[in-house]
Amino acid sequence: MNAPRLDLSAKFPVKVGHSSATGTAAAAPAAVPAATPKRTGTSGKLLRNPFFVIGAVILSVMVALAVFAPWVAPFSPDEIDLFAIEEPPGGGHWLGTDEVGRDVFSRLLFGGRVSVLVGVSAVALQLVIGVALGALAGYCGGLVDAVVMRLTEVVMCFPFYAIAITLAALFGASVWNVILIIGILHWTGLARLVRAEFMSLREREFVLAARAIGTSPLRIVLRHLLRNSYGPVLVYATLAVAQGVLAEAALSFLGLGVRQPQPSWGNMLSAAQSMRVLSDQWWLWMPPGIAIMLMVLAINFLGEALSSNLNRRPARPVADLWPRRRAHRQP
Amino acid sequence: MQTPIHFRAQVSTLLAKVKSNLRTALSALIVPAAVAFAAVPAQAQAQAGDLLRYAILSNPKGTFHPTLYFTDYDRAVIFAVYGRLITLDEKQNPKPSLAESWTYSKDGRTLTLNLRKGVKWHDGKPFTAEDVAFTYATQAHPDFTRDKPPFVQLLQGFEDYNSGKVKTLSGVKVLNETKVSFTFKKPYAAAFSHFADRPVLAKHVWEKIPIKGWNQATQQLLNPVGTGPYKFAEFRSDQYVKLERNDDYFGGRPKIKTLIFKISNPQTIQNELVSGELDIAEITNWNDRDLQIYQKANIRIVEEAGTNGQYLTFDTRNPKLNDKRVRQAIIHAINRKALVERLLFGHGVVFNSNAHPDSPYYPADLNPYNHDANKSKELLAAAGWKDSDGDGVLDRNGEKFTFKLNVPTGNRTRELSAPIIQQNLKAVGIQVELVSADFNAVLSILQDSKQQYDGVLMGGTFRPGQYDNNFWWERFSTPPLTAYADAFNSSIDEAVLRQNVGLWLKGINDEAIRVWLYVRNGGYALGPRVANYKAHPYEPLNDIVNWTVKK
Amino acid sequence: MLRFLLRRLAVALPVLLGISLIVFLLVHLQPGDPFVEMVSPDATPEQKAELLRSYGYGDPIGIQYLRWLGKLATGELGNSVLQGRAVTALIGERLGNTALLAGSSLLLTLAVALPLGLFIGLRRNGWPDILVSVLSFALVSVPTFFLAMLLIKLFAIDLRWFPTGGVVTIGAGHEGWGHVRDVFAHLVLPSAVLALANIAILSRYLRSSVSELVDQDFIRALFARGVPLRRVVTPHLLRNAARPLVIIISLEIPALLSSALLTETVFNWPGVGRLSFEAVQGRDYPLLMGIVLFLAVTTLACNLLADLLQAVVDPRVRLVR
Repeated sequence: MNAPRLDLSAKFPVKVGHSSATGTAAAAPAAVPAATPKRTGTSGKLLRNPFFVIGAVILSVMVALAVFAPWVAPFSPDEIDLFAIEEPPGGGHWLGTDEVGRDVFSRLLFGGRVSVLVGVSAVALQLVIGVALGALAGYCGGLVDAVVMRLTEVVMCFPFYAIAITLAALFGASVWNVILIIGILHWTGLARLVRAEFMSLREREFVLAARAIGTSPLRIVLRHLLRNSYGPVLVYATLAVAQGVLAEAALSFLGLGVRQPQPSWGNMLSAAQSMRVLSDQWWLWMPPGIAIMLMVLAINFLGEALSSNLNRRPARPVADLWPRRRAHRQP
Repeated sequence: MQTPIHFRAQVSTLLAKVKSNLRTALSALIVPAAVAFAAVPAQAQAQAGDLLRYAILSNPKGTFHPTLYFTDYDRAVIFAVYGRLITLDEKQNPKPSLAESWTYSKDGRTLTLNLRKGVKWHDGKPFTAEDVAFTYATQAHPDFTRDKPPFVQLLQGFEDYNSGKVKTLSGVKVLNETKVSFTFKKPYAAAFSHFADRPVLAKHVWEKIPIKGWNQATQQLLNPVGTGPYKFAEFRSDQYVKLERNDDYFGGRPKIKTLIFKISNPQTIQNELVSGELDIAEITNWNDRDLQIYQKANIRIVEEAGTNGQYLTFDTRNPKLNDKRVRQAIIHAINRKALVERLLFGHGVVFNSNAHPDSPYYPADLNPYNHDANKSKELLAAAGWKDSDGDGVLDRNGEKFTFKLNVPTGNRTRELSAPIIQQNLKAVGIQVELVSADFNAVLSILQDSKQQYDGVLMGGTFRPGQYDNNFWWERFSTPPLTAYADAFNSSIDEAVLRQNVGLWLKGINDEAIRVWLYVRNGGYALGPRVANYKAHPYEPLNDIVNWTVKK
Repeated sequence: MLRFLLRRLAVALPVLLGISLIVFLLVHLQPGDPFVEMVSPDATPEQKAELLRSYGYGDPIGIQYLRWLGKLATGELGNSVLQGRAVTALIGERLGNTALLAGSSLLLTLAVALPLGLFIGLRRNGWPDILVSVLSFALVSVPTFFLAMLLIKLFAIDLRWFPTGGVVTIGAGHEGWGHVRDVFAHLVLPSAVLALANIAILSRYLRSSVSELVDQDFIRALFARGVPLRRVVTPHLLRNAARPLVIIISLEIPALLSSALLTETVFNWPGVGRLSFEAVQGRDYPLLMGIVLFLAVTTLACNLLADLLQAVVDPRVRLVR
C-alpha cells in the first residue's frame, strides 16, 4: 500500500496548458510530482490547515448568500428605475445602481447564484464525461484507449473561444448553455488524469487479485480503482470549479455568456471595459471583481489544502538547508 | 560527514549566488524596460503636424471597391480615396462633385450629367464619362456578385442586360468625354441617393478583370485607385489604413498630408483619445461622465443630427400582431421619450416613421404615439386581448400574450433598452421574453421570410432621398402604400414627391409596422490637435481638405 | 523512436479529419450566413437566396464538406467570403503578431519563474515563499481581462509609461531599431498580463519540485561527499526540477494561441485570435475552418513534441502509444 509510486505524473502532467485556455491556471498548483507515498488525509489534519479553513469559510458564506439571495436581496435584480441611473452607493442602494437603475447589491447576490451554478454544474458535467471516458481508456487499454485518446485530442484542439461563440450561436444564450459549453470543452484534462491514475493502479496487486477471483470489471472500476484515485480527481475537480467561474467571466466579457437581463458576475464585470467606469464608477465593477476573486481564491485554497493533504511529506527528518528550529542530525 | 556549520557556509554562498542570479534576471528585464521607457516619448509626443489619426470602429474587410463594399469601415476609406458624382450638403440635397451640373429630359426619364473636366485618377490617367458608365452599368451585369440595387433595376434595358441577352445596357449612354446620361423606365429622383452612396471606379483598372472575379481580385481591391482627396498608401489588417494627400485633387489640395484610419473598438476609443493616440473618434455613448472625461482632457465634442434609427420590428403576419391596433398599442406602451432622456442622456430624438424627423418630406401631422399605458390597454382590449384570469398577462381565446423579443449583441445602448421595453410592456399585460443572439443570427431572422418572429430590435441607417417600399423585415405590404411608393419612384416633380412621400410616411406611421424607438444624435470627439474641423450628417469627410492639425 | 513518430503522424490524420468535420458541422448549423451583412437593405429575400446558392451554400452540408475537403487535398484553403483574400494570406499576416505575443510572454515567464522558483524552493516556508504564495493565489484568481484592464489603467492611462494598445505607434513611421523599440514598448503590457498567471504557477511548481529534490537521497549524498553547493544546484537540481518544464512549455504554446483572443481584444492586438472572432461573427466559413485547422495542427504538433521531449529528457519513460 505504501510502496513508492512510479513518477507517472511527469508523463501525464495535469495539463497546465489546457487550463490556461481561459487565462487561468487554476489547476496547476496541484500538479506536483508525487514522489512520496499517497495517504488519504485525516479530517483532523485538514481542519488544522489554514488554507482549508479560510477557503471553506469564504466559500460557505458565498454559497449561503447565493442560495438565500431571494430573501437577502433588498430589491429585485430586474427592477429598473430610470431616475436612479448609475448612482453611487447610498440612499437604500448599498452598492449603488447600474446603467438602468437596477440595484447592484441585489444583482451581485443573484449573480452569485449564476457563478456558483455555472462553476459546480460545469464541473459536474466534466466529471461525468471525463471520468467515464478516462476510466474506460485507463481500464480497457488497447483500441478503446486509442480511440478515447484521439477523441480527447480532437476536443483539445478546438480553439476555445471560436467554438464557444459557435456553440453560443447554436444553442442560444442562457446559463445552461454556458454550462454546456464549458463542460463540453474542458473535460479532457480530467479524462487524462483519470486515465493516468487507472493505468497505474491497474497493475497493482490488489487489482490483479480482484481480477483473478473473477470480480466484474465494473465492480473493479467502481470499488477499487475509483476509490483509490479520487484524491487527485477531487483536487482537479475543485480547481476546475474555479476555472469554470473564470471561464464564465471571460465568456461574458466577450458577450457570449449569460446575457441581459440576467445578472452574472461576468457580465457585470464586463461593464469595466469602459475607462469611465473604471475610473469613476467603482461600484459597477469592483463588487463583481472582488466577488470573483474571493470565490476563486477560496476554491484555490481548498484545492491547495486537499492536494497538500494528499501529497504529504514522510515524517522522517529532512535535511533542511535553512537552519532553524529543527534538530540537526548528528554525524 | 558535513557539519552544520559547513552547511551554513555553503548555504549562504548558494543563496548569494541565487540572489545574484535573481539580480541578473531582474536587470535583464530592467534594461529592456528602460529601453522601452525611452522609446515611449516617441508616442507621447505630439505627432508631426501633418498627420491625422481618425478612428474606425472595426477592421475593414479590405473590399475597397465602390460598388462591392458593404461595411461602414470600408466605406470610410473608400469615401476618402474615391470621388463621387455628387455629395450631400447640409440639407441632404445633391451638391456637385465630379458632376458639375445635370439636366433632365422633357419627360424626366433621362438624367444627363456634365462631368468635371481635367480630373485625373491617382495613377495619372484621365477621368472620363466612360468610368461613370462602367461603374453603374456593371452593377446590372449578370455576373455582378452583389444584389442588384433598385437604381439599376429601374434603368431602361435592365432585364435584357441582366439576363445576358444583350451585351450593353441601353439605359446608360456615354455622350462624350464629359457627358453621360442615364435613362430610367420612369423618372427616378432617388438616382442621386445612389450616386451619393456609390463612388466612381476606374474603368481602366477594373475592365481587365472579369466581373465574376472582382471579389477575389485582391491586388486591385487592396490598392484602390480613385479620384478622391487622398491616395491609398497602406493597409495593415486590424491596425490601420494609411492614406497620402492627393495634391491634384479637383476639390482643392488637402491641408493634412497623411490621413490614417486607426482601427479601434468602442471600448478603447476613449483611452486612446485621452492618451493622445487618436485625433478624431465617433461618440458611441452620450453618458454625461464620458463627456466630462473628454472635457477634462481638452477634447472637444461636436454634435449633429443622427443618421441611424433604432427599431423594434414586428412580424406583421404573426397572428398576434396582424391587427394594427395591437401594434399601435405596443408603441403607446413603450416610453420612448424616457429612452432618449435616460439611455441617451437627452442626445437623441423620438421619431414616428421611416425617415429622420429633419428630412425634407417628413409630415408634420404624424401620430406621435405618446406614452400612454391606458390608451394602450384600450387598443389591446379592442383587439380582443383581456386579462380574463387576473394573472397580469393578457389573453385571448385561451392564448397568453407572450412576446419573444430578439436582441442582437454588439450595441450596448440597444441591449440596455431591451429590459426597459420589457418592463414597459409588462405594465400593459404583455409578457416579454428577451432572447439574445449575435448580430448575424438576429439579422438573418429578419431576412428569412420563412421565419416567423414576434419582435426584433434592429437598427438601420437612413438613406436621404431613398424611400424604398420594401418591408421585408416586417413581411408587410398594402396596395395604398405600394401605390404611393410607385408614384414617388416615377417622378422628379418636387410637388409629386412631397405629396407621395408624405402620404407614404404617414401611411407607415398609421399602420405602425414597427416601433420607431429613437435616433441617437451623431457626435465626434476631437483631440486638441484638430483644427478647422467641419462635417455634417452623412458626410463625415466632406470637408476634409480644409481640416488642419496643429504641430 | 521512429516507429513512434510514424505511428503518431498516421494517427494525427484521422484526428484532424475529426476536428474538421465537427467544426464544419457546428459552424454551418449556426443560424445566419456570410451574406447577412453583405446584402443591402433593399435586397429581396429571393435575391439573397440566389446569392447564397451561387456560392454553394444551398447544397446539403455533406456535399459542402466534401467540397471543402477536396479543395484541402489540393492544398487550397480557399478564400475568405467576406474579405475575398486567400485564407492562408490572412492567417499569415496575423500569425507573426500572435507568435510574437505568445513568444515574449513565454520568455518573460521563464525569465522570472525559473530564478524565483529556485529561490523559494530552497527557502521553503520563509517569508519570500509566503509572499510569492499569496501573490500567486491572487494572480490566478483574477480574470485575465480584468487584470489587463487594471494594468492599462495604471500604466498606460495614469502613468503614461506604455501605450494603451496596438502593436506599433500609428503614424510615427519608425524604422529599424526604432521600430523594434516601438514594438517592444507595445509588447510589455500584453505579455506581462499573459505571463503573470503563468509565472505564479510555474514558480510554485518549481518550488515544489526543487524542495522535493533537495530532500532526495542523491542530493544529500552529494552534500555528504562535499560537493560545493554551486555544483549541486546547476547540474543536478535545476536539471531535474526543470525536466518537466520543457514539456509544460510545449503544452503551453497551443493554450497561449487559443487564449490569445481575450488579451488581443483588450489590447487591440492584431492577432489570429481577433481574426477568428471576426470570422465567427461574420460566418466566414472558409476563414474559420482555415484557422481551426491551423490551430489544430499546431496543438497536435506541440503534443507530439511534448511526448518526444519527454522521452529525450527522461530516459526512464518509455514511449507508449
